[in-house]
Formats: sequence, structure tokens, C-alpha cells
Amino acid sequence: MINLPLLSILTFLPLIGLPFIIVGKIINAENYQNISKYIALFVSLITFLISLIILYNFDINTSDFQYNERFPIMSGLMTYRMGIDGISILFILLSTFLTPICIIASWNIISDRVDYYMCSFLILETLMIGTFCALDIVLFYLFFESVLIPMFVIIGVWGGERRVYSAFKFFLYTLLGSVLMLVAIIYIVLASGTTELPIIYDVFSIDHGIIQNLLWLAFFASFAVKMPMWPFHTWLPDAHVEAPTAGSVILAAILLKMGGYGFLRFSLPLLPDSSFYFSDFIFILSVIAIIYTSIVAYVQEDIKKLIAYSSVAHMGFVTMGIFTFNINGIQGGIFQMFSHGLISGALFLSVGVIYNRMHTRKIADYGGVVSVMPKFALFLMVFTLANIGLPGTTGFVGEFLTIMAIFSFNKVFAFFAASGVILSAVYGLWLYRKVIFEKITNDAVKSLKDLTLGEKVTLIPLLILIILFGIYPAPVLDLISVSSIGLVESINLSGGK
Amino acid sequence: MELFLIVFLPLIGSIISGFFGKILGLRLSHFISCSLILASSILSAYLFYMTLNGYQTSNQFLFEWINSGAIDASWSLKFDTLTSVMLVVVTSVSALVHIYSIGYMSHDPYQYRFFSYLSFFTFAMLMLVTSDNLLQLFFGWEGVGLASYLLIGFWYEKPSANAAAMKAFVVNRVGDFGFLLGIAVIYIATGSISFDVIFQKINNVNQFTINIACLLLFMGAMGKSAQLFLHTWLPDAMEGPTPVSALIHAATMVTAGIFLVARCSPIFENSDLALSFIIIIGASTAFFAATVGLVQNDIKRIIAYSTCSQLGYMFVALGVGAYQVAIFHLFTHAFFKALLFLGSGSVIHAMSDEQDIQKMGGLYKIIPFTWIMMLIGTLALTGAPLLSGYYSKDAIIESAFVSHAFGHEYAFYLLVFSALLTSFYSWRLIFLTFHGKTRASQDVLSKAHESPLSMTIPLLLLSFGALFSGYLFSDFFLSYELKDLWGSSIYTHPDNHILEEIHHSPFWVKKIPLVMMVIGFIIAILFYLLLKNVPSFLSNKLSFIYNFLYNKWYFDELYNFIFVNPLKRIGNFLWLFFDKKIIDGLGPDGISSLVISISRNVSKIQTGYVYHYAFAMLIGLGFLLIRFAVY
Repeated sequence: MINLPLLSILTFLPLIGLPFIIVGKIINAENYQNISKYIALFVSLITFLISLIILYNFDINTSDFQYNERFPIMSGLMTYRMGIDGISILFILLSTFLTPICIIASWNIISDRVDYYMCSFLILETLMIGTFCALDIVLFYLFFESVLIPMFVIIGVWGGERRVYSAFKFFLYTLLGSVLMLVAIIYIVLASGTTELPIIYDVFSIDHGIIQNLLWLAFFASFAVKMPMWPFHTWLPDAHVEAPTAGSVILAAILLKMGGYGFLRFSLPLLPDSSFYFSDFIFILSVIAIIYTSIVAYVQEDIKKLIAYSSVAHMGFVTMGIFTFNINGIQGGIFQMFSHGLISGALFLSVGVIYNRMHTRKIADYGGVVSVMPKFALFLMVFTLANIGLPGTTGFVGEFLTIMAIFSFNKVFAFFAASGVILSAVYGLWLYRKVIFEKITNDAVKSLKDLTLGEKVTLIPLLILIILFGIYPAPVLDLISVSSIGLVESINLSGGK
Repeated sequence: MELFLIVFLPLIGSIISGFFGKILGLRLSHFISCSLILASSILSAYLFYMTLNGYQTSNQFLFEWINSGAIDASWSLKFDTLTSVMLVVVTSVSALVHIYSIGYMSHDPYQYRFFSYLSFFTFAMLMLVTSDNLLQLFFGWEGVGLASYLLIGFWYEKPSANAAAMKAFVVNRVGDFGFLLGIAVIYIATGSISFDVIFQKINNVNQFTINIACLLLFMGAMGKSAQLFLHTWLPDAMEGPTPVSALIHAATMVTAGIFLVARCSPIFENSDLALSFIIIIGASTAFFAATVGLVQNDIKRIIAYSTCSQLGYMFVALGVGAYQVAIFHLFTHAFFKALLFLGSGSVIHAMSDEQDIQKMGGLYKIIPFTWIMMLIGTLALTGAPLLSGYYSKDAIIESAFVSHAFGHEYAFYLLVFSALLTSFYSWRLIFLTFHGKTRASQDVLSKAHESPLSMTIPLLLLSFGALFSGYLFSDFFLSYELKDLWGSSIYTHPDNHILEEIHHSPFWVKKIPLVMMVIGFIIAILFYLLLKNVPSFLSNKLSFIYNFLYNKWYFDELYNFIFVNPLKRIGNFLWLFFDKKIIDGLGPDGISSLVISISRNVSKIQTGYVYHYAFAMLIGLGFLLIRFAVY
């Protein structure tokens, strides 16, 4: 079992679905559009299963990379190197867990070019898993940037009315970051003579100075756009609004996390002094993100935009936590990313549920939904409360740990960050009240039907995990614990703090 | 003993009536949820009995919660004297309110949901009082806040109910913001969030940090216990069904702040600054809320302001270091205030949901049982001799007198005067509701009826509490000799002898609350039974003061002006101006329009005439030659 290249299998398994879908199309089998859904679902479920096998055999007591695979490619110019630690496995699981849910959520919704849609999702899954598995800096870059393409297609083809503008904005922002990051990667590769990340960790060291700061800023440009951090966030609301439901889910749950993952994998261990040097800068941006975007979220008239802005605020806690260089902060930041993946995914799925019935995202078009969709109201209540960070849900654990960590680092920043606790309640409950409670004013709401079986299948797993890991987060915290401690210690060794 | 059952039986009840209520049917699901709470209250009573006989403390570890670095929070239950008092209060009032609700909510189509919330509230409250660390306490703290939010907004079609629910949650969150930072300060200072460790290490922490920690924790308490500046949610919370007001907004949840300070007495005892602050806020709230209560006309709002005011009394007791006295008042207040709320619920029930006491009057003939119950509650609240409030409230006033803390005189005089106000507004409520000529419409009166047994029996039981809980337990709470029964659950500074000093307060101090009560009573009789023109005469003559009080000192208007309205404006500004104009304008949109304009200009060069191109090539060649020539 162990000798199998499990990570490669996991990464490229989703692609197996592609030829089947294409063959179906070529032979023009009856119903091939429908069949493509089953193929995609089946493949993504198998992928999830394999990720669970990987988890089962994963050793949580070491911070070393596991499941290593390596062989040189491109005549030794780079290495095909895969491996995971406690941090990356969490995001892999999140990706493999959410992809089948996204496919189910698209089941009856996407009617146009279903086969292409399913192919895009499978490709997307491969690239997401690859990003978190890659231990070669160039390989990582390839995966990291390629993710954009299927996402761009999903928004651009199956998106809403202004999809072209959104897709363009999304692309432009990300492009800027990636070019700069590429330059930094080339510098690091030349300086250390290898592209393998574990070796770079050992050999690459650079005195703190202008070069390190420039390298740091180059990485920052890419990751800050992905997170997104204020003021690089304006692509996110537009992208979310136009993306189809499943696209929003992946975007919020996985793609945003690549920024945080990048900070953890590159900025902190490779450029510790600059990371420390810029930490106040990060805190200021994060605090602005938490307060500014929370207030902006409150005035949104579009449900998806509101949730998108709230994502930016929540990511503010992540960046703050990561740059405290403290075990609570890093664990809190990672947990917050994981939790936000579940919660924002659940929220966007919920929005999808009512959007599919009403074909409007305007808050004002709703109201009184609880009287016709009580089950949906219950689900959305739990997700909203989790988003607000109520203890007993995953939302609280990450926020609490990061606030504790920030407090030991800088009390003023902690003070402002904690005010997010108030603001999130304001916009969260406001949205819930306007959509779910009060009298029905729109006649279309009166005839709404409650959740279908398919919708329940997508929402129930998320609900369970949000509460389960809110009450008992130990499995997740234990999974990331040793790797986080290893990360903190490696930073201290290179003289960052 | 399986003490964890006390906490988890209500949770099971909540799940059963919430998810399986429809399957089980009304009767069965009511029976199950009520009997689970009853079982929990019987266990609590047993524990309390053990405590009175010297049973000290036990901890039950359940499983770990958040474990990261030095943070090690677990789910575990702590049963000591303080907890057992709280358990008795919470479970017994909760059980009675559950039973009462069967009758009160009998016409409501969403009873399953109601009972589910009610049981969930009880569970969260029990988690709060049994917590052995700050984080689990915070879980319960937010849990009861959630239940309160859900129950205030229970009638979700009413916009006012929704607004009130949201206000309650958000204002409480303001307090929680402080609470959370307080936890952080304590964690940084002591390296732990578990009570046992914190209390051990707190002596090594510097004074400044302790002061900050206490003030932040107290901020949380101010939110939950509706103290001045963070009180605005409590009167609005009366939008919820009346049993909710009795259980959550009178007897239990709002006393969580009192509990928090008492639980953290080892920390607070080290901060004279925070204690004085508590005294001043408490006394000010007691006075403020009592003045507002004087002129309100909504029967529930009057009692809500009274609750706010009585909580202020309790905080004064905490501030002067008389923790047991505060808990004693919490204990007695739970009974008589729940009685008053449920009694007023019975009035509202009888009057076809009318809440305005100006539209009542003369009801004592129609609903005599409710009238007697309300009388008992009022007598207990105002401190009539031998009733429960007499013991606990007088003890607070005495402790404010004998204290040496900064601000104790301020508190003493305000509390004495507030006792007069309390007596006045309480009797005003009774007279306007039950006495004099009726002002209700004939239609309403013809339908008025005494409440069913499921409502009257809980009232009767609560009235026993209101009558006897003071007399029976005053030794346990007040006696200096029995202090040891409290074990380590309440810590007092070695110099703090206030429990003993209370017994040596001067004669006039002991009697003055009674005098105040009688004066308030007499004025109320004059105003509302004998000289009925006086109130309207005064409100016209002193319209400024009347309006000031009637509008609750204009706190809501002030907050709307400072916080609520600007938030929307700031949000729109940031979004439409900053996000769209500045960031997008300079960012993607700007870049793309820049690219377009550059390419447009560049494309102008492409004129299509050969001699233009030839000329350009010539110039280029010239530059190239010059460059090679120079180097």
C-alpha cells in the first residue's frame, strides 16, 4: 500500500474521468450529458476515498513530509516531488470532500454543456490537490497558477450576466501577483541551485536586507491577491456574484486558502526576517480587512456580495494569526481557513438553494422564507451562527485562537480585531433577518418548496462537520499540531524572532 | 452521583421536542421535555441539600475542547457551592416556566420550536454555571445569548420582535467583545484559562493587568446583565413571549453577569479599582432603571426596568465584596421576579394580549388568584418584612453602608432612594392594573378569565419561593459563621469582613429601606387611588422630566445617532467610494482603461502612409547609429 505513489494517484485520479466523458460524447451515447455527471461524481468520490486512506496512514507525530515521491523531470531542470505534512493534508481533504458536494449541487442546476462543466471541475480538483501536494517550487507554481484556468472558464462560461467583467478582473489581479512571484521563485532557485522545496529549506538562507524584502513582497503580491487581503479584495465580490454556485463554493473554500497556504509554505520559512519585518504591515491590512469589509458587508444588497465581503473579513483573522509566529496563531489561522472553507462553502450552497428557486440574489426580494422553508431556515441559521463565530461551531475555534495569539503579540491590534466579533453579528443577523424572518412581501416566496433530497445531501455533511469540529476540534488540531510546531521552531532557528 | 445529568437532560429535551416533537405529538413531547427538566431540578435540589450539609466540590471531566500550545480548554463540569445555588435557581424556575408555557402557548402553532428553545436555553445556562474554565463559561454565555435571540424573535413576523432580537444579540456582543479580551488578558498573564490555575496564579500578576482584566470581564457582565450603557436591549427584549421574559430576562440569563463576577471573586478581590467601578455602575443602574420604570405603561416593560434596577443592586453587593449577599438577592429575586412576570403573563392572557396598564384597572375581581400572586411578588420585591426581598435587599443596602470601598456612600444613598422608587412603581402597577375603575373595553372584559391550572400552579409554587426563600436561607447566605459552607467557591480578601460588619450596622440603616418602602407605597396610594388627577397634572407641569423618563433618558436615540445610523453611511461610503472609485479605479479598471487609451494613441501612429513609416524607420536608424558611435 505504502509503496504505491498515492499522492500522484490522488492528484491525477480526477483526470481519469475525462476520457470517459469524452468517449461518451464522441460515440454520442444517449444521455451522455447525464452520464457525465455520474462519471464525475463517481470519480470524485473515489478520490475522496483515497484521500481518506492517505489520512488513515498519515503519521501525525512527525513534521517531516510524508508520502514522498521524487524523480527528476525535464532533464533535471526541476523535480517531480510530492509530499504532504499536517498542514497540506488538511487542505487536500477539504478539496476532495467539497468536490463531490459541488458536483451534486450542480446536478440539476447546470443544463448547458454539462460535460464540459464536469470536465472543468475534475481538472480543477486535480490542480487543487496538486497545489497542496507539490514540494517542488516550480511544480507548485504550475499547479498554483493553472488553477486559475478552469476557474476562469467556470465563471466565464456558466456565470451570470456580468461574467466577462468579473472573469477579467479576477484574471488581471491574479496575473499581477503571479508574475512577481515567478521572479522571486527564479531568484530562489538560482540562489539555492535546486527546485526541491525541502532542500531549499535547508540550503537557502539570505541575510535580512533589501533583497529579502523584495522577495517577500513578490510572494506577498501573489498570496495577498489570493487571500484576498485588503486592498486587493475587490475582485472577490464580483467573481462570487457571477460564478455559479459550485464555482463560488470552490472559490471561497479552497482557492482563497491557497494564499494562506503560500504564506505558510514560502514566506514564513524561507523569508523569516522579512516576514517578521512586515508583520505590522500585515496586521494593519488585516485589521482594516476585518473592520472595513465587515462594515461594507453590512450595506450590501446582494446576498452573495455580502458573504463575499464577510469572507475577506474572516481571512483577515487568518493572516493575523499566521504572522504572529506563535503556535496558537498559526494553528488558529490554519483552523480558521479550514473552518471558513466549510462555512463559506455551506453559505454559498445555501444561497444557491434559494437562488435556484427565485433567480434573484437581492436581499430585498426575500423575507419570510422560514414560513415556507423551515428546514432550510434551520440550516442557514447554523451556518450563519458559525460565520458569526458562535462557540460550539468551528467558526469560534479559529477566531478565538488567533485573537489570543494576536493579543500576546500586539494588544492594540487585538483590540481592533476583536471588534470583528461585534460587526460579524451585525451583518450576519441582518442578512438572516431580512431573508428568513419577517412577513412575506414577495408573492414568489409563498410558493417556495423546502429542501430537496439532493440539497440535503450537500448541506448535512457540512452541518455535521461544522458542529462536530466546533465541539471537538481535537482531530483537526492534532493533525496540524506537530507540523505547526515544526514551522514555528524553524522560524525561530533562522533568527526571525 | 451522575451530576452531569443535571446539565444534559435539558439538552435531550431540547432535541426531542425540536426534531421529534411533531412525530410524538403535543402531549407526549410536552410531557417529555417538562419531565426531563423536572428530573434535572430534582437532582439539583438534592445537590443543594448536600451542599447545605457540607458537601464541597467535585469536577467531572467530559472531553477536551480547544487544545493548542498552552491553551488547554476542556469540557468539564464543576459542582461547588456557588454552582449548586445557581443550579437550583435555574432548574427550578425553568421547570416551572416549562409547565406554565404549556398553558400560555397552547394556541401557538410553533410550540415544539418554543419548547426546544426553552430547553436549549436551560442547557446553555447550566453549562455556564457549571463551567470550570473561562472558555466553557463563554460557550454557555453565548449559548444563552443565542437562545435569548431566538426566543425574543420567536414571533418572527413582527418586525419589532426581529429588531429587538437582533439588538439583544448585538448589544450583548459588545459586552462579549470585552469578555473575550478579558479572557485574553488573563490567559497572557497566568498562562491558563482554567479557573483553578488562574486563581492560584493571580497573586503574582501585577496590579495594572488585574485591573484591566477585571474591567474587561465586567464589560461582558454589563452586557449580559443589562447594566447602564449596555442596558438598552433588555426592555426591548419584552417582545418575546412572557414565559421567556420570566425565565431568561428576569430569573436566570441576566444574572449570568452576577455569577461571572462571583465566580471570579479571586480576581476581582485584587482590584479595588474594578470593584469601585462595579459599585458605581451598579448603583447608577439601580437608580436609572427605577426612574424610567416610574412612568412606563407597558406592564412587562415596567417589570423589565425593575429587573434592570435589581441587577444593579446585586452588582453593588458584589462591588463591596459581599458576594454571598449578591447571590442571595439573585436567589430570592429569581423567585419573586419570575412570579411577577408569569403573573403579568396571566394578566395579559386574560386581557386578550393587552399589555398597556392604562387600559386595565379593576381586574382583581375578575382574576383574583393572579391578583394575589402579583401582590405577593410586589411585597417581596419592595421588601415587605419577612418576605424574601426584605432579607436580601436590606442586606445589600446595609453592606453598601458598612463598606469601605470608594463609592459606597454614593451607592448607599442611591440604593435607599431607589427603594422608594421601586415601591412606588410596583404599587403603581398593581393599582393601575387591578384597582380603581376599569378602563378596558367591554369586549375584552367579557372574555377575561382566570388562567388554566398549568399556569396557576407554577405561580403558586413560585409564590412560596417569594414568601419563604428569604427567611429560610438567610442564615446560609448571610451568616458569617456559615461562611465555610461556601468553601473555595467564593474567595474573599483577608481584610474583607463585610459579612460580619453587616450585622453591626446602625439601627437606622437597618430600618431605612422599610421606611422608604412605606413612603413609596403611600405616594402610590395617593396618586393612583385617592388623588387621581395628580399624575397627569405632574406630567403636564413637569413635561420635561416626564418626557426624559418616558423616553428612557434618550439612550436609544443617542445610540442610533452615534452608532446605528452612521454605520450604514460609512458602509456605503467605503463601498461606493473607496472600493469602487479608488481601489477599482486605480486598480483593474484604471489599468484596463489606461491600456485602452494607450493602444488607441499608439494605433493613431499607424496611418497607413508609406512615407510616414519610412520616416520613422529613418529616425530609428539614426538613433541606432548614434548609439554605436558614442560607445
